[in-house]
Amino acid sequence: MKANNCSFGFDAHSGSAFHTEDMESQDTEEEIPVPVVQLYRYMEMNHNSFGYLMNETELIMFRRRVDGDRMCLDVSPPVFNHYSEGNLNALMVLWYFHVKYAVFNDEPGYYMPLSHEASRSLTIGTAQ
Amino acid sequence: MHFYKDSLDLRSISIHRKHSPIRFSCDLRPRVFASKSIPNYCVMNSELTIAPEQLRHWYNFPTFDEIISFSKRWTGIEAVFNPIQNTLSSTNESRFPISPMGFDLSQGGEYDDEFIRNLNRLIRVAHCSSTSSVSDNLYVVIDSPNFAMHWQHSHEAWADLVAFWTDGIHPQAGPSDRNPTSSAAARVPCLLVGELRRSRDFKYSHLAGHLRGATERKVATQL
Repeated sequence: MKANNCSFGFDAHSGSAFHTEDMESQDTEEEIPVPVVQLYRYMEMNHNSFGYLMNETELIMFRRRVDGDRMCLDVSPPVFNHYSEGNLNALMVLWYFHVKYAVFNDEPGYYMPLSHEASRSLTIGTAQ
Repeated sequence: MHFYKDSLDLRSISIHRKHSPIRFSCDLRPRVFASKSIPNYCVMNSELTIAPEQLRHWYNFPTFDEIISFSKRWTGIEAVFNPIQNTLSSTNESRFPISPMGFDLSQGGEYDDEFIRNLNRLIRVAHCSSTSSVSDNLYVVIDSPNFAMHWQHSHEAWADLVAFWTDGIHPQAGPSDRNPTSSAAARVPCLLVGELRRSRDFKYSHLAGHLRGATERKVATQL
């Protein structure tokens, strides 16, 4: 499943923009699932540090952060929705993140600026 | 504390019925807009992408004990998250009987928003003993972005759930920025964003290969 057929990326090392179509021909790895790409976009658009994907059985939290000179997306272990003694469940994890980072805005806070890649992508995309 | 029944819950329910904001789109491919009149955020939504090597394991993700310890700041919250332990250690029943613990997608594709209502109640409790910097009756709520955000006028698909400050009637820009009207909706920040998907569309195992690769890259770097 392809995330996007026509988009731009930015190579932080060479400083050059490239079509992801070009990258696809070189990259043999499986593509990232579309829901994750979509969530990442929402997080970038809103300058969010945290986001989540949830289905009938599990919750997965995501965190944007800078690693070196580029943005990365941390993926939590799956958190099951049902109650299990002594284990995390979706309700308590979502409550924790909303209270700690949305209500009290503890470090690192809910806000994270637009990533360098996103800024570059936006500039290129707008110019089309 | 009166947080079980408030105008926000009732309004949310009516909005859900009217506009069905919680959706499970079959077409996951983002739409690309060609018009130059489209605002920047629409273009950005379609153009942003993420490379496989940008995915990482979240190694220091909060543990059960950490969250339980955090929840002890508020009376009764711990009993919700750890009900069996609470039953064994106390004769009092939980003050906040909560169920279910997650979404129920088993009923013909319709999702039961009782989970979100429960979550909103628990978040509301956290405001009760918070600092004085929070204005009276302002609190964080999880709801549909169609309700409050400036993206409601966008033609772009938007997330299923967002968290934002509200006074129960109008969205607010922050805990100390009370605005009596809804005209400030464009300035309302989205605090956290969430997506709902059926497990056949997405589950953790779909990322396993990418994360395995990330671990291998990390080990290779360390070597």
